[in-house]
Amino acid sequence: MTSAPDNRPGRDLTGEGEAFYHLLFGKKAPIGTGDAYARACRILFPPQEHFPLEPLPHSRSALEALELATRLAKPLNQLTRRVHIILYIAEADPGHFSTFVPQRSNRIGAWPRLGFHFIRTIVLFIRGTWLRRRYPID
Amino acid sequence: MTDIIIVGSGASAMAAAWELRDRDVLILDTGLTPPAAPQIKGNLFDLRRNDKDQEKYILGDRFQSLVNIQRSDLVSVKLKGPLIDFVIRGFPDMAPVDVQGFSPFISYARGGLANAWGAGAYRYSDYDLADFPITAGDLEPFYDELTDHMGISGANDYLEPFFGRIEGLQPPLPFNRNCGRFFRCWNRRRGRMARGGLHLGRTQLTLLTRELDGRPAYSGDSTSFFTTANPSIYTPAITLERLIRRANIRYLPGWMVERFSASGEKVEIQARSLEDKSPRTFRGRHLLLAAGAINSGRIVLRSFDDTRTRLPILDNPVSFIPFVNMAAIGSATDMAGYEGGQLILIYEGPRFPKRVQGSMYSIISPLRSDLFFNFPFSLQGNLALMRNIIPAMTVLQLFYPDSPRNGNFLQLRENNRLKIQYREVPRLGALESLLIRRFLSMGFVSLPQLVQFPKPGNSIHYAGTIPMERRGLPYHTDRHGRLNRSPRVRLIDGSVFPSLPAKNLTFTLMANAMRVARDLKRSD
Repeated sequence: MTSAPDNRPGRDLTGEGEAFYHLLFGKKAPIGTGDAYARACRILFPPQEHFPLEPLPHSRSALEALELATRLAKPLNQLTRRVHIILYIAEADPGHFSTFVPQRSNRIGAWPRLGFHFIRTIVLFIRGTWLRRRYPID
Repeated sequence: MTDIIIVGSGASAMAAAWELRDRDVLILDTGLTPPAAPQIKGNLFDLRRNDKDQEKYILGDRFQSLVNIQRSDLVSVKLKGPLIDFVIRGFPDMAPVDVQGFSPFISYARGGLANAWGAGAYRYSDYDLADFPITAGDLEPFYDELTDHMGISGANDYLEPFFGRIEGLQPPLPFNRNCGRFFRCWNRRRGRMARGGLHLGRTQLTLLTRELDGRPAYSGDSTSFFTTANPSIYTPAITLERLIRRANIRYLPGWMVERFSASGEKVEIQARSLEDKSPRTFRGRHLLLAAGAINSGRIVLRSFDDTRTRLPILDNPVSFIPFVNMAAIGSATDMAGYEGGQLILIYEGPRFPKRVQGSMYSIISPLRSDLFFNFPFSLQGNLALMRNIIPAMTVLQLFYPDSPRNGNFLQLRENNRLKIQYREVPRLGALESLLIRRFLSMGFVSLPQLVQFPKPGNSIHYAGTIPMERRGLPYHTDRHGRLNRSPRVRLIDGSVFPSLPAKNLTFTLMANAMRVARDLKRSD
């Protein structure tokens, strides 16, 4: 995916942030999340660093698979860095406090949950490796 | 003309200034300060749960906390928050450095790097001082005075043979969940571990568990990763606040000292204003340099227009080993636990030629987003790991000793930029593998692949540029910190350490600075 001047209007970046929020948390982004994402992108990334989201797969699991395979091959890639911004923004939202800081123990439930995600990660990695050929990300 | 000029306001500078508090002292400092607002007031977790404006001090209006998403050479989690990044602000722009194999953190802040230190106070023993022209006995009275001045909590325990017996300690903090379990498991195996060269005890922390001189005891507010305004944790800025109330102590922030020249009974210091870049000369009878090992080296070389000499540089090689307390997987976050280092590990055995020291931390208050992509699962998998594993995680940070090597040096260039090269790095990993095997039997699990070996410079323990030695070379000092080329100038920071033990140096460089200051008083 090549770099080109990023002169997208604010709502493009806002929409991109909302899409990444949905990818992470599987629900509609709270008001202001997309705008905070757009502000962060303008501050953190140089203007020439353009990351078009449109050509990427629209399915949530396909995008997750692509992100995983890309990250394991290239940790500082464009897609992961942008998802990371949304993660920080969500963490600074009191509505997400319990997502990040568990307040109740669930020591028995933890093991099957982690086992499930271990297997799911392997499946997604295989799928993501295949997707990377079609959607290479810098 | 001022009697004594001190350059810097970090740990050594403030220890010397405290010793000289009855003399006519001018403290010259760059003196960058944290923003006046916002402030963090209250328990971090209460604020995180309720405060809708937390983005201002958690992320920053310019998203300062996200600095690491763009770089592989990471800024310490403790130095990047919007209320704490002033500690390393201005570097490298204020004094450029060209680096090879080294990733320095230099502070121009009021109070220096110790604004964000781990608060561990460790006394050097004669073993640690083997290369120094002084003994532990020379430092002991100053360690004792500093213990009373700063307030140190802890206990004389199994590590007494390595740190000596310390009087005047405040009671230790209770262990957080993971460190407490680790300590109990270790105690059941203590004899076997000791036979293998491994020793474990409580950390001595400059953190109050009892009120001292108007400073409150630690309240368990968990804010130390986000603000330096924690009066229960000692920082040099606390001493500075007390000193500047005295009429005979003048504090002048906003000045970058560039060079000095000494003649007869006086020293002239040339500095440049940070505000308008205008030069100014300050005159004193004595100069105490405490700009930090790297900048003190730069000032000395510039003073003699020396672009040929290579000064040695020391830095503790570091590794980080994450461990998971298997018994705590799926637990709630230990929000009442202290997030700093609570346990000290000493290794003395065949895996490394000298003693190695480690600090064990539990991950309690840092942002989970800082750690999220260290896990190798998918996004949803990492969310699950974050919730279930982080409350069970501890990190062992190992520090290795360092001594001068030809490939590690700093040198002034013709354009006044400093060159730092650090090429000779010891081969690490053997001790980490041993510890991973030993800790497994206690239910603390890790993998060699998860161990991180940051680039040299990340210890933020720099030393040895102008060492105190008996050889009397021009860029050495005598045992009282007097620069051989210019005895009216004394070096009082880490630059005078001829070698760097694995123990955190801050408490010792404070004790040594006091020792040098007392010698100045006595000999003047």
